[in-house]
Amino acid sequence: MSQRFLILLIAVALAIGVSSCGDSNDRAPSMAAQKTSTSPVAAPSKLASKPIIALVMKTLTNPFFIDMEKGARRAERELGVQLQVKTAAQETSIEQQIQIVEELIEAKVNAIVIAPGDSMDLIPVLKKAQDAGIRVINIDNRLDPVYSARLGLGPIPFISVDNEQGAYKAAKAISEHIERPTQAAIVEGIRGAANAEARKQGALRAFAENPAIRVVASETAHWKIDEGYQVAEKLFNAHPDISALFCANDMMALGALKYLEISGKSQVLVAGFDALEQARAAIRAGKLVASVDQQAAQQGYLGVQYATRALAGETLPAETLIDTGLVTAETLK
Amino acid sequence: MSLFPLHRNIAIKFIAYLMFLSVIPLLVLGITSYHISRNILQAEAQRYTLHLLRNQRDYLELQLDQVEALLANIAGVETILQALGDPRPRTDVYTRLATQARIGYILNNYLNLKGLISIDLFTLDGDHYHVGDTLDVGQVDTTAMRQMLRSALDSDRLVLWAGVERNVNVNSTHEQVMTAAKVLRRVNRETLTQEPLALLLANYSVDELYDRFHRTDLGEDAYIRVVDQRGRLIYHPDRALIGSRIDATPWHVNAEPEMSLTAVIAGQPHTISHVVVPRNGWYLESIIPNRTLAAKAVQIQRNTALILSACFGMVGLAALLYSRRVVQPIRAIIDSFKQLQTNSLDPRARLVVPGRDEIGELTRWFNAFMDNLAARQASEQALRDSEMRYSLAVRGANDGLWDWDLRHQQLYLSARFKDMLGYAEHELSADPTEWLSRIHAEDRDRFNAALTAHLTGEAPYFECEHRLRRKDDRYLWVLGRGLAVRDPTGQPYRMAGSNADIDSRKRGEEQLRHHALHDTLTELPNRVAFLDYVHRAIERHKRHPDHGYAVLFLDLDHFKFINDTQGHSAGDALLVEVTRRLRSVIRATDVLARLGGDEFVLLLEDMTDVHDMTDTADRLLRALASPFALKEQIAVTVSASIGIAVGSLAYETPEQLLRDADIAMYRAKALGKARYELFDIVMRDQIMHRLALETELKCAFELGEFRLWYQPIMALESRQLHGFEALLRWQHPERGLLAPGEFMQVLEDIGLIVPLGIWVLEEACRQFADWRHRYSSAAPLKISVNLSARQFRDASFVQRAMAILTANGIPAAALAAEVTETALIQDTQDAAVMLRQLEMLGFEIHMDDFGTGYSSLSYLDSFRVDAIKIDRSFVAKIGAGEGRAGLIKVLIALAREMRIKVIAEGIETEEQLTYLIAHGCQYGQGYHLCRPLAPSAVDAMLEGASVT
Repeated sequence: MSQRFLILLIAVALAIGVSSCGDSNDRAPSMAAQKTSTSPVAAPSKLASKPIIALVMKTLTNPFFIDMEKGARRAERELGVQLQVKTAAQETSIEQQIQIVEELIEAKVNAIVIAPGDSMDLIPVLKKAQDAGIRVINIDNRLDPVYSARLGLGPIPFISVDNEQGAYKAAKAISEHIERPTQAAIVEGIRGAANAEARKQGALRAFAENPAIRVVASETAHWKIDEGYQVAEKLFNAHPDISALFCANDMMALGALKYLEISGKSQVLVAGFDALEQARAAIRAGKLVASVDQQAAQQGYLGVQYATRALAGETLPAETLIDTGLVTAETLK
Repeated sequence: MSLFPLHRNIAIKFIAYLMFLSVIPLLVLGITSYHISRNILQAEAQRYTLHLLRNQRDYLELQLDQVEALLANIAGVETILQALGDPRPRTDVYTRLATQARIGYILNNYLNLKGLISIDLFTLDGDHYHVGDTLDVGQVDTTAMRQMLRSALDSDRLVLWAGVERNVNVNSTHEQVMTAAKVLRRVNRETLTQEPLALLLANYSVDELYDRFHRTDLGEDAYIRVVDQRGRLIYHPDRALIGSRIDATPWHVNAEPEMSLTAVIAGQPHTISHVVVPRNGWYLESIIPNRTLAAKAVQIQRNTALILSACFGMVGLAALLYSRRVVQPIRAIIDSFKQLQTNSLDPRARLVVPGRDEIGELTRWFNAFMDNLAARQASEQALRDSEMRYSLAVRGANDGLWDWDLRHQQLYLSARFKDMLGYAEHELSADPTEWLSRIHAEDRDRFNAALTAHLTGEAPYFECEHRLRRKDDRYLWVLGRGLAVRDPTGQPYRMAGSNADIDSRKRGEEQLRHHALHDTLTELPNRVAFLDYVHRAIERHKRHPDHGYAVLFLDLDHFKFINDTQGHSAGDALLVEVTRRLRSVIRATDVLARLGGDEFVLLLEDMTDVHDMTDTADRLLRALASPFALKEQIAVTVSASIGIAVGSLAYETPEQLLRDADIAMYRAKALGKARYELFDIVMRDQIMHRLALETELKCAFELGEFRLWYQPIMALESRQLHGFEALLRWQHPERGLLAPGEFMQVLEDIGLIVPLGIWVLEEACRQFADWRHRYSSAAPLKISVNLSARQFRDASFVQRAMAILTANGIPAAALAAEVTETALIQDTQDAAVMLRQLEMLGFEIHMDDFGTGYSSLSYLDSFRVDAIKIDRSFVAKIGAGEGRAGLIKVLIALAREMRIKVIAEGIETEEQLTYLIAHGCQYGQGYHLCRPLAPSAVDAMLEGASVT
């Protein structure tokens, strides 16, 4: 019996001793407090589980890419991924694009959906991205397969439109209106870019089908609106009789139209590519004959979707071509 | 015991001491160190937190600086200002798009700032240029934009930090941003005033800030928050809270740019550090629960707690041990004492000794105490028992008790004591001298000696048989026993004891002693007493050689005869009368004693002359001379033979004197009785010779020195061999062959004749059988063997004789037992029995030495005698004179008449032979006929006879 009392006494004393050691009533998680200092903080808390997919586009001034981003955003929402939209300042800012990809590799994104400004210059950096385990999806402008193979780039799904066919359709829309011998010219995209080349070829094919048309000049305006203006001015200074003009995109077409408007050459038939909102307005206004809707939003959407599927381990088709639609005054009615 | 008071429990005290000595200091140390270290850690944490906050603020300001610099740069780009300042309407697509592109290209160059989401340029006339996270700027929160513009316009600062705001670009994924606004202005050349052209907005990512700040870890439940000037959260660990307005907190009133304070949040004390960003009134705050700060001190706390627990455990263990080793044993002792108090403790119960320490010692001492107690109780019990027994014994026993106070010389005598002395209880004084005076004068010396011996310590107790004078002046024999009680120096101061009444025992002893020393019949001293007297006489003579003494040995002649004929009572009466007469003629100092039977001895002392002794002997003889009247009419005459041994220094023992007197007495008897003889040395020599002879005979028998010679008994007329008489010879190693006359009496006296007689019978029969076997025709018919008187008393003789005969194949009739008259006289009864048995068995009985006894003829009537052997003394008379030889004629005639054979002994002459033949004596033996022959000579004789 005395033992029991002793134990009680000890217990009481122990309790007093312990409680006088600190004022905290809840000491249990004290271990955790030390531990948290080692836990990584960089992981974004809310989006941590979502794969990060970067959409790299060529320029921030072409509304075409706004549409593309919109499509990608839709995919972002629908597929539950995190989308980062990166854009080079201008279509010619290839180095900037390369820089962007480098940064993305650095940032360890899961996938890159890229519309490369150049079909060859970006291959090395994309190879680096692939080596870093990043899935790469090619949209819009195709990377050069030969170079890709040579540099050891793995298979990259390609989503785009048939640029040659689209360009053919747009040029054909002009060509259909021409029956008399007519001088025609082409404002090209960036030379060396596959889509630019394809569109030029398509346009040339369409013009070639019409014996009345003689292509007198083909200059590049680097996809840009202001260069389109300047190239048009240069072309028409050199060839004042040009009356058919195919521009590889709407921005260059809008630039050319501005020149024609200023110089009062209202008979020149102009076709564009991309079917921008502004281009559509010009078609409705009868200033622009045709443009090609290459469903930028769809491309953006598919690009993100493919990236998601690639991340899920799916094998994707090497090439996915989206239908292009010719936009004319007819189709807009 | 279930409720034991605290103040009594050693264990609790022990624990308290232990606590005070070890645990409490440790506790204090632990707590103190914990508190100190916690305070230090807290202070350090506060300092660190403040430092951290400053760093974070610096970082934030750096970001702000960069954004501001960026905005300043953009504001300085002439191209943009020109483009914006172009008064031409930017209504057409181309202009818009181209301007967009131009400005876009420029703005894009500034986007590299990390964390910068977008740059927006809103012209006052509604154009919107945008670079950044999204290209889709279709939706703009114009209200917010205009609000921003107003604020920027109102602000006196070059760059307005609006704090955390909703992104004006609705489509951006960054809904909350830190927006910096700057109004682009242009000088109106006409008014020369700065005109606002556009609003330049830079949206900085709160996520970037989040990532940056979130990396900071301040510990559990601790966090940093960044609040803008309007009380909205720019940064908070919970992203969802970013942008929301915080509640006003008390410490924000009168807040200093930098401060640390402790505030209670949600009931918990928190340490709050507060740092203000001066340029825009934002502030950074770290809010850390004090317990998180204290958490770092938890290790100390835990260690302290652990050590304390261990200490408590050890204290507990020690307490348990202590309780078991110390308290329990003590408690057991206490309980035992309690039980002892209530007498419920088993006195044999002992506690288990727990060890060798003090507790063990205590327990041992307790056990020792219990042992003592038990011993004391036992001894008390024993004492009680003893007292009980004592009182019972006192009451029951007949002992008288005394208790003598030696210091005060007071004596207590028990009632029984007084009763023993014949006094009543109230009589007799307490004076010890009175008691001592009652001691018999003869015993007083002995008594005092015994008393002194005990009081001086020589004797372990006092014991003395003594006599006490009774009231009636009779003396009472008592056994006094006592024990002195001594003080520590050993000095006796008290003595107590008992007096047992041993009077009757003592009287009995005296009686016994008297009986032991006196002859009951005559009341004379017996042999033992007499020897004692003689011993004293010897001693006295040694001291005073001129004081002569003598021992007279007196033996009544023929007393045996009187006893036999007149009966024992007559004999006894005669002895009493003899005693009376002897006494009457001796002096009072002479000691007369009876040795037994008819033997008396007399010690005479103070003799100076031999004549005194012989005179006394004469007086004694004369005193017995007159007839004794026994049983009225019968008068008996008794004589006595007296031997006198005169004391000399040669005598050492009384027995020697007695022996010599006896020898002298025998000499007197031998010399004719009724006379006295003085002992001389010759007598003793004879005796010594005889003793030597006895020894020699015993040896001779054992060594086989005895031989049998055979004297032929012849039929006188025919001169034919009739038989042999076996004669005993002793082949003495020194003295040669000895005839029985020299030792026969001694053989009889020492009883050796009995075994020797058997041997004689055996040897004779063996030899006889041998001869019969070898010389059947010439062998004798009879063999004669002499029987002594002593042999009659051997009851087994007849059986053994038969056995011997049977063993040798000899018919009983061939054996003749020769018996002397003397033998028959000595033991009439036994002889008669044996002779009758021998008769019945077929032995021949020959009466030897016939005619020498008193009543030879009467035996012929009593026994069946086969032959008489006429003694040689009669035969020797033949030829000496007619008269003498006539007796032989009568004897022969008588025998013939009774048909008894006659054998004449000792025929030494032809004349004798002729005479005997002439008077009809059939058989005879003697030198004339044939000397006794050794067995070998018999062999030769029989050999010759058988050849012829």
